Amino acid sequence: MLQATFAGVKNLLIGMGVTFRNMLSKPVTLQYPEVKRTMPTRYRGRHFLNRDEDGLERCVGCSLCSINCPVGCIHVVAAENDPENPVSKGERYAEVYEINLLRCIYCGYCEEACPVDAVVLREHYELADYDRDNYIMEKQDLLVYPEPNEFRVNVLGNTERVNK
Amino acid sequence: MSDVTLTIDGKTVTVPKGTKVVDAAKQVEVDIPVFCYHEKIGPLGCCRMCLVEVEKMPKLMTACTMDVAPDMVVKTVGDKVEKAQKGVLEFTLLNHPLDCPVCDKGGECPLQDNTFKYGPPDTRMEFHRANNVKAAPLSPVITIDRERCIACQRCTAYSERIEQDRGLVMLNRGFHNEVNTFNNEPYDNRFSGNVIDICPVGALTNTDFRFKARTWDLENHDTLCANCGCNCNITLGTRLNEFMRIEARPNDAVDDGWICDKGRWGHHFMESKNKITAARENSVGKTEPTSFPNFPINAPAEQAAEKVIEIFKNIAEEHGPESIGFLGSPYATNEEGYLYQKLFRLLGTNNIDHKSYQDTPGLPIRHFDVEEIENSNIVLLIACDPTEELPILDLRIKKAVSRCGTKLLSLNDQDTALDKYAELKVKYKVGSEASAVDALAEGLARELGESIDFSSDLGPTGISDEDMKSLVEAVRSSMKICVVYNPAALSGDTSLRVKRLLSVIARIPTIECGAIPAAPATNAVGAVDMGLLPDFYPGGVPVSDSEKVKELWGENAPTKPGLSASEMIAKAKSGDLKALWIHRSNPVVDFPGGEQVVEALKNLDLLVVHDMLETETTQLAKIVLPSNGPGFDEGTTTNIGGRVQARRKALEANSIDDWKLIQVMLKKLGDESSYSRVAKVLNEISQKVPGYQEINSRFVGKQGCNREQVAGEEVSPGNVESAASSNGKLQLRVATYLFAHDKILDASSKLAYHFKPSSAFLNESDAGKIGVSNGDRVSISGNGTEMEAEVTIDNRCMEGGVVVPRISDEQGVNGLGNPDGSPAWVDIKKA
Amino acid sequence: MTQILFKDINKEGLHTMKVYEGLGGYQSLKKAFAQKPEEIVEAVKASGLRGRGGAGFPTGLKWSFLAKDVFPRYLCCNADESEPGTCKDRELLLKNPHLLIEGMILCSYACRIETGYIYFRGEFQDLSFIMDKALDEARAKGYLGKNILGSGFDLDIHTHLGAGAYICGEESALLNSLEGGRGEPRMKPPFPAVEGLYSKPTVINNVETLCAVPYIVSEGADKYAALGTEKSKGTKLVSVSGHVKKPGNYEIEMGTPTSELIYNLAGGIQNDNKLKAFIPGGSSVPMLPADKVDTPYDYESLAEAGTMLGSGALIVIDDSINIVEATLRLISFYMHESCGKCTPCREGTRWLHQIVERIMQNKGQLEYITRLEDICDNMAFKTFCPLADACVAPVVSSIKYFRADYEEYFKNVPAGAAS
Repeated sequence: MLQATFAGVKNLLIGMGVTFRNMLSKPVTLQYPEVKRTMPTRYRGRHFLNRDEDGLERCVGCSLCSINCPVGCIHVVAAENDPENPVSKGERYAEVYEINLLRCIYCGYCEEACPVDAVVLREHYELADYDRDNYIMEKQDLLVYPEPNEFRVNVLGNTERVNK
Repeated sequence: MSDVTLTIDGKTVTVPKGTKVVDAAKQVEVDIPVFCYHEKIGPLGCCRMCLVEVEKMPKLMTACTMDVAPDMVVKTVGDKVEKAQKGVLEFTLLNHPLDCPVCDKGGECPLQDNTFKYGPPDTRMEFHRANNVKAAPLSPVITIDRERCIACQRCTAYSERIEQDRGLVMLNRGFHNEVNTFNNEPYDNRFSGNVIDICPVGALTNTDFRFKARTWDLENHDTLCANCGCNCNITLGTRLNEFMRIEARPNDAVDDGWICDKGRWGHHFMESKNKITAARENSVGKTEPTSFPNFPINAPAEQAAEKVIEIFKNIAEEHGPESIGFLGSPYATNEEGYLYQKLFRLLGTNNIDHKSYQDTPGLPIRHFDVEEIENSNIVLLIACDPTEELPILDLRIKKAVSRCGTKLLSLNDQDTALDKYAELKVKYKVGSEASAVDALAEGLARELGESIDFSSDLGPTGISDEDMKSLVEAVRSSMKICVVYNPAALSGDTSLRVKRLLSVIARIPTIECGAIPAAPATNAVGAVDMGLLPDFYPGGVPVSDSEKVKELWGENAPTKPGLSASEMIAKAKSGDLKALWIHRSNPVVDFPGGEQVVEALKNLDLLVVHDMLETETTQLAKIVLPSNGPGFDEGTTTNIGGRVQARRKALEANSIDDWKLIQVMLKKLGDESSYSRVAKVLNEISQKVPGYQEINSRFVGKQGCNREQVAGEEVSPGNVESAASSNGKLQLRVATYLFAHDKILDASSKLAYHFKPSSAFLNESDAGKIGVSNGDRVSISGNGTEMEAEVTIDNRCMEGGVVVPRISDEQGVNGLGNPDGSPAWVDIKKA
Repeated sequence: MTQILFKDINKEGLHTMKVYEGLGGYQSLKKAFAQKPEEIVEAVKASGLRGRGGAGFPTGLKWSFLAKDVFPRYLCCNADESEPGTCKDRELLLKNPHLLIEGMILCSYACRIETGYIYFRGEFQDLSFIMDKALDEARAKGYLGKNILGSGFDLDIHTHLGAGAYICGEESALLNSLEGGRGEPRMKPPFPAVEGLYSKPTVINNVETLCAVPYIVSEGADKYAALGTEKSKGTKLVSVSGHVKKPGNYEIEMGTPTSELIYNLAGGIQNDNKLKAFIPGGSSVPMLPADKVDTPYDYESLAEAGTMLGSGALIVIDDSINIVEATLRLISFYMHESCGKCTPCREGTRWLHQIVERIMQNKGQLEYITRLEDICDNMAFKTFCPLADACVAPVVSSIKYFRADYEEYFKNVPAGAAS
């Protein structure tokens, strides 16, 4: 009887030990959305379009991202630059640039294919919304470039410019 | 020509003597990379990309300049060749900009492809790439990027050998050479656009297509150009149901790989703001007919058509079938023409026509395909100006004359651009073509020793006896002759006289002969074949042959000859014709008569126009129905060489296809045939139309196939009546101008820079008599119409005539013509 | 030494008909007209005369290659003496124009030609005026025109001035230029003998070649063939230039040692410097180092030594000269004169120039030398005409014999510090 009680207490203590240990250790969960997780620098989240040093759009509307996209979620319509008032540095620029984030599988092929480092996938992951239409990212949505990312600047050589 | 057997990379191939090694290699699927060589242009030896090793030759040879030789052993692989290929590509890319992402050629660029396949992995170039002008306009429609140019000289060789006017030349030397025009003039001839297709890099670009889409985004539709009777093969690129660009699609039997500028940039009418998109009722015309109900406003076209055809039926029942008429289109497809004639013959009328000149189906001799021009030793042009009317025929004739040893003879009333290639040029007076053609026929018949039932008189033609003699001699002594005549430019019954001439030529035993009826309209041959004629059923079956007509078309098929177009207009004016249906035709501008046509159409009880663009005629119509037109429609057309080809759909239209619309009406009239696809109509054509038996959608395929000869009747027009005295007036010749400002090339057209002011070409002596000099404004009047023009004195025609090119719809030069098609007299006065 | 072309070259007034005829000029015509045309072709064949323009093709053979029974035929005299270092034709044209006219008449008679052209380079305008005068004199005397000397043979000769492009010295580019087109070489075959000027059979010969014909006709082929070596017969005009005491044109018998030319005729090296290199046949042939100076001056011996006789322009380079600099100068000439038709020449000449220039600026890498050789290999014998080969020759030979001169430039450059 006593032995059984002892064993019970022992097991209880073993069990509670895990509890107490975890009570004292740092929790793995975060108080999302009050606290936000920092994603790894190479995380492939939401897309952005880069601008160059002069503030011009990097995208030249070459459609290589669109043809490389395995799910066909990028739509580009290019147009010729006005030399007086250029939008990008090349002769052409993307008049329309749309990404359907719902269809996107975040594979990053578009970033790989981009010959001018214009389109990038960044660590932004909060993509929930109430309206499907908001998932069609248009050019003005994509050109809002967030704070620079060290990895991308140093390793991938992205030129980034904080757009205020 | 004898054959030569050689070995290329261990594969044995036998090719005709004179073939280049690079072409021989293609036959055994050995790929030799090239930049400057083009099959149609010939060897240049500029790019040095095609270096191959040939046994017993000390150095590498260019496969594009080397003729095959017996027992030649060619190696296209191996260290030596590969090093040379890498070396040449390194040189080529040395100063070529790396702007593939921006370049319009990217994705279909031979330089990209060859670099990928044969190129070095990297360049050893450490210096700054040379900079040059990025976007310089060569013409309003072609832009050149001099940085990208690799100086392969394909374009300049094209200009020299194919176009033959050296529009594009190389300027400067060495590293600084550039493709340009003499004196920086714009490069704006009729065939300039082809240099875009042949440029192996993105140097020569289509200004219209510049940066509009990447090539891989395009949906390419293999279809036909709809701007003239050549029916050149084109690839129409679209993206998201929007028109993007047009490229040539080589078909040796039709276009030899080239298209004209009108074919390339003259298709913007597909997105014209003047396009008719819905059925509508106009508040014009005479009082409403009693049987005319309220027209359903905003109804779909098929509902409207059902209603309207019912009214036609009522009118036919009330006033007899002679009181309705149909004016078909030489621009529509065979299927549309066929169904329309079926529809109206179902209504019991033969008042069906599509043209303002006289023509009959069939030829007394073989109908030559365009390709036959190259192996004929004589080409005889009668009243034909291919450069303006059928531009690709012009290139074909130039090729035949300069490279195939063909001799060109010309019998015309005006000077043309092709005259400088002609061995013999015989010019007759404007309006005397009947006598001129008869004189040639008579001369030939006399040579044959035949008795003939007609006589001719050279007097009114102004041709000297010697000229006619040498023309007769040249025709008689030919081995193979191809007669190219333009029925649309022949007045009165001259086209019948040409047919009599052809049958005389056919009787000369030593000659292999054929003819090409070269009317400029897109499907002029098809419209005649499809029986859009008052006196012929499809396939040249005369209405008088009631037995055959009843066998093919049923017991109730009308067998009384109907009214021709000009007769219908006359009857409309007198009130005998109550209702007229016009399909894709604009008689107000295009038919002779001008104001008289307008009056006649206004006099109708009911005018229905089924057209794709707003025209002067649609303004007069009570009911307007939408037609989709080229780009949107599908079906087949027959080109001037009798080749039936498929015109495919490239864009989706909002309104119903023309053939479906006609089918709806046929059903309404109780016709039982139903067509699920347009190919089913073609099937019916092959059953019902003599000459089209072998035609079906499978045979038509990509390259098209020739229809069989359509039977032609023996014709025997009488002698030419002597013309009335001139009374100080001049005979009018309306010439064609390719880039006329009409509904197809409207003010917003990319080709608007080609538009010309109205001008009249006068002979020196006539100008002296009238008292005008170069540059004077004159007013030309005749047939109750008047128009203005600027005088050019250049002896384009002989004394007593005036040549007025039709340069726009507004000019109204056709209004000066006689409605009956006889040569018109005009008065010219200083304005 | 036997002088044929330069026999009376310095005689006062030789360019006038009076003096020329007085020295026995135009006498060969009568002798020629007594023979059949074919006999003259045979005589020229027997004489062993070879084209003096650069390629050294047997002249008689060239004449006999004319397409049979195709008329009219044309004769073009190539007076576009554009090879750097060459000025032999200039002297003949300046001082003895009638010799050329006589040669052309003989050639035309032999080949049944009725129209001849003399294509001068653009810079030879003054010479063309002299020639025009001489032609007028010949016409007045009846040596040109209809029924020359009662032989029933007609000929007229016209002069034509080019616009001064080097490539127009190449025979087919010359024809293009003469027709009024762009001076770019034509595709061969067909060779000019079959389809040349205006697509008719055409003989194209150098001034010196044609000037040798009167001697052969008047003195006999054997006498001409007795001169020179076994395969290179007759005499040759050599333009000696560069660092010699007496630069100028010298007529030598074929096979004379080059050293004889440099040290005896031309008086030796200037300032008593040492010979470093010499280019025996004009700028487009490979150079040779000083130790080969005893090579006999004829086609075969020079070919054996790895170079060519070319147009007979001996350029002498002494040891005060930097070979890399001299090479750069030659490359820049060819870069400027490339017609731009084919890629390796157009792009390659410029690239070579850029690289050698970079070497001269002490900014190169040792690897550049192998790169130069590789580029030369990619250019040589892969182009449409021999201009690229000509550009490559000095580069390859200078690297071969004077590699040390190149390496000098890399001594102070650390490896990998290029550009």
